[in-house]
Amino acid sequence: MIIAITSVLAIAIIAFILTIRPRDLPAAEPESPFAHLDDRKAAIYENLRDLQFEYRVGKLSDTDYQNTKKDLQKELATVLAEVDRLKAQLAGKPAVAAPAPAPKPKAERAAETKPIVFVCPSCGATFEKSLKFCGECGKSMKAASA
Amino acid sequence: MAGTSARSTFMRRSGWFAKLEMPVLALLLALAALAQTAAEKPSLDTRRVGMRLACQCGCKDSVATCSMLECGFSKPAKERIARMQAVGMSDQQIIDAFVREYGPGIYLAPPSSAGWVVPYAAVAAGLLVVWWFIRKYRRPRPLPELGTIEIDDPALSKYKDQIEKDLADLE
Amino acid sequence: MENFGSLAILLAFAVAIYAVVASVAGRIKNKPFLIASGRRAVYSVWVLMTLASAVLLHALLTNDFRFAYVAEHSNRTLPTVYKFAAWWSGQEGSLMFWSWLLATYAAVVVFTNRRKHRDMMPYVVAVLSAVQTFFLLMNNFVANPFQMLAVDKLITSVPDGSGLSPLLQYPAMAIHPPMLYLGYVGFAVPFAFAIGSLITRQPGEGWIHTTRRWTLITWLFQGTGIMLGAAWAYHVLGWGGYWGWDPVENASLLPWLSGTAFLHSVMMQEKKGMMKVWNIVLVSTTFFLCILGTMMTRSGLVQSVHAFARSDIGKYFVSFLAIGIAGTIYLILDRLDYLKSDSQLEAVVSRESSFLFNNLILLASCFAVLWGTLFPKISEAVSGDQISLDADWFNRLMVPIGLFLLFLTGVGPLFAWRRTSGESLRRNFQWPGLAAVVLVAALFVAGVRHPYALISFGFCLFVALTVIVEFYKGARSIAAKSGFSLPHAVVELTHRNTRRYGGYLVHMAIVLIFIGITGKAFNLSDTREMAQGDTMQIGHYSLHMNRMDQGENDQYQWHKAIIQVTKDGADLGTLEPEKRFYKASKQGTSEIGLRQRPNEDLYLNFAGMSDDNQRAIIQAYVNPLVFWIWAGGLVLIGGTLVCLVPSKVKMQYARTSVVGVAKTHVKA
Repeated sequence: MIIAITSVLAIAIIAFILTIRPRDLPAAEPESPFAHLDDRKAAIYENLRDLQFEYRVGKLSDTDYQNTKKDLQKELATVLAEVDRLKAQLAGKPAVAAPAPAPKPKAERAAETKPIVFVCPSCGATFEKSLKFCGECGKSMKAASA
Repeated sequence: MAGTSARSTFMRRSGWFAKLEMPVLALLLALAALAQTAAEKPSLDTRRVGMRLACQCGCKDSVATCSMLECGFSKPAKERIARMQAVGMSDQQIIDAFVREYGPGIYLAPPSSAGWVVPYAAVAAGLLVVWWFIRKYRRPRPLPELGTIEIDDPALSKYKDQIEKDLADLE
Repeated sequence: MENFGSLAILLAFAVAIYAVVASVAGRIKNKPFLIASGRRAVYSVWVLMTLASAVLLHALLTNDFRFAYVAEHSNRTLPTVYKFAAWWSGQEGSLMFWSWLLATYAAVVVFTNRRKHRDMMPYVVAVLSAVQTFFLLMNNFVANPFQMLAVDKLITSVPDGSGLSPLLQYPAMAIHPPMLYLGYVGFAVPFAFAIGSLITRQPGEGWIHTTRRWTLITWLFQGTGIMLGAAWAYHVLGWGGYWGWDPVENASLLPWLSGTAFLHSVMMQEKKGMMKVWNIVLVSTTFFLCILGTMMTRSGLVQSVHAFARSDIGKYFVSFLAIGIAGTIYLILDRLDYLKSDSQLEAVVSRESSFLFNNLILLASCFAVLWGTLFPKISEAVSGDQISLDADWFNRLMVPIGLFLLFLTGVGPLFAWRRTSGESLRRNFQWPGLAAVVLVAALFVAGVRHPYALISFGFCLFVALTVIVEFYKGARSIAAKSGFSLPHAVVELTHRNTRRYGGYLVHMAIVLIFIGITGKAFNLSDTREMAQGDTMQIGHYSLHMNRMDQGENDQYQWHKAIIQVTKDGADLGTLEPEKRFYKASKQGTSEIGLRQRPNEDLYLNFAGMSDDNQRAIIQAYVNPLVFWIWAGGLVLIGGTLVCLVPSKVKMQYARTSVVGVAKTHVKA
């Protein structure tokens, strides 16, 4: 009895492993050649968002904020250029720096219900306290108002 | 004669042991309560001496750390140590007595300096690695393949506007 | 039945080997059918291991004492739940449990990733199956759980088994090993992905994204297992402490420490594409430490309270470790160019540097624990003397390292990524730092003189304040923008970036645990022989022996002391420490009497009877603040669970679409 059961088990296992029909192959998810660049781009946006948040809550000094923001933007531009280069290469065209489709963050924007205290002259963002540089657009708030 | 030589070795070791370890041990009484394994808990004094004696029950542990309950060697040995301490014998005298009886093999050496030096050396080596890492990656390198890109570059200013606009939408 | 079990594990062994070969060959020769059959082999191993485990469990639950394993680790009167726990309480069973867990993990990984990572998955399957093969080798040929008792070639049975070690008959101990194993085994998954990504030179940080959750869950299991182990030691071993630097405890701590380092340093790679080599090294180290930990527990390499029977399985583990480590080192060295860093350090004073120090200290503590644990073996090899390092050694070495780590826990998050100016530092450090100094001064005035305790409490307050300020500032900003109430804003804030704020909660848990550990500096203990009517004093407590009691049941004989506790004259009821003697295993255990309060525990242990058998030996301990260790453990679990919740504001970016290339890849 045991012998019969074990043989059936062994045969079943071997059959399961070895008989694969074409329709059993899982359709692979499409893999974009841009996947790693898109990830990188997303990471940089994420970093920028963090940076703005930290600046707004007052963890960062103005110079730190400005410098780091510039760095991140530079990196972002590099990645976008790399996307274009790869795209041109894939399309079999000579590498020209064609503009890339713009990334579209779909983050919702919170309704601004706070009484307005300080307004950025460049982009209109509002803050509860005085900042040297706008936490939204990064332009100088003082210079424009002066 | 074998006994005396074993004894003199011990004297030398126990010299720094006594000088260095005892005050610290006394300071860290509470911490020393750890490492007790068996349910019977000998006093700290008994434990300290027991740590220097190998249990002969076949467990390869010390008398103090032998985890066997009702162990045929470590239990009476612990009691004996306690009795000897009660009559005022020093740690060294007790250990000598055991060495005389069971031979020098029963003596367990206290941690040698290597026990201390190596972990700190590892920390120091780690610091060197961190220093090396910072030095290496601190050096500004041109960004790969594309060279440095100025954000004012006309080809990239388009990105810049887009980036600014996207950032305004972030929250 | 036993033949069926034996056959199942033997077949599993063959199938696991096939999985390795088929996956690698299929990938190299580019044969999707072979790769798919490798995947199915992984599922088959799981089915076979589940069947084999069912056979063993059936034998345990039906008291089939023909099985040597059952006879050794169970007996008729054992409660059913511990019969089940006997699965992982002995050498052979626990190794099979390991195998089964690994098979389960592998099946889940393969199933959830069956459509993803076409390039690297075959190698992931191969690595997991190779590890599986090793453990099946142990199950089949070294520690077979289906060994039968026999006399003159006839299978026989014994009337009753020798029972489960009574020390293990405790609820926390029944789930402590599975927790630790879930941790030990789980690190195989990130390791397999790291190796797969390395072999196929995947661009980007795909393996980190894929295994992020695995690593966290595994780390959580490991941490929970360690906490349960400490709770078990505290409540069962009866020596008034929770951590004795026992080799087996250390073995579980090692991968947790390096895993913690890994969890931090992957952030560098995710954010900036740095430390790629280092992360591979860390995840490999963690995995091999898990294997080493299993070996230490199983082989009796180093003496320990709860190491299992000594056996020669050590040499198999050593060979496996040697091959695995050598292979990993070769792979890393061969692919250094692929692991080149994407970016550089902008400034020395930055979050990046704080991570470097965090890693340094975590790894240093890991190394120190490893060194101390293996020192008896090392010294034996060098000088011929086995020198064991005791708890004092560990404490003296680890206390300063631990305090520095606590300090970094507070400081790290205050540094900004890329660069932090003095101005930013001042803003973040000023108030928490000042508060910590004030606290230390106040404690000093109040009479606390223990230097480590003062430093520890100071750091604890500092870290706690930085965490609270972080939550407060963020929540205030959200509240200002959206009009939420502050508590609502805190929830909103955490939900927006669960990894970060969950991480802060874990930091808070570390603070609580450190508060609890620091309490040890103020422990009191005393041992007395007490007859009925005797009274002893410890701290503010007065202990009066009301009476002694004894009795017996199927499992054990017991002695109990009923002790009336009063504190400064106020009656606090009775505590009843108990001493048990288990008949089947002929072992004694202690059931402690414990009064647990947030400020301090009163802990009574019935150590035995005096020589004249008239008086009970009562060990009394007052352990301040131990409560906070367990509280910290719960916060740690909660914080890690928060990290696992997906963040609410997950920004999605349009993926780059390609015109003029065969496939378009648009994924919102």
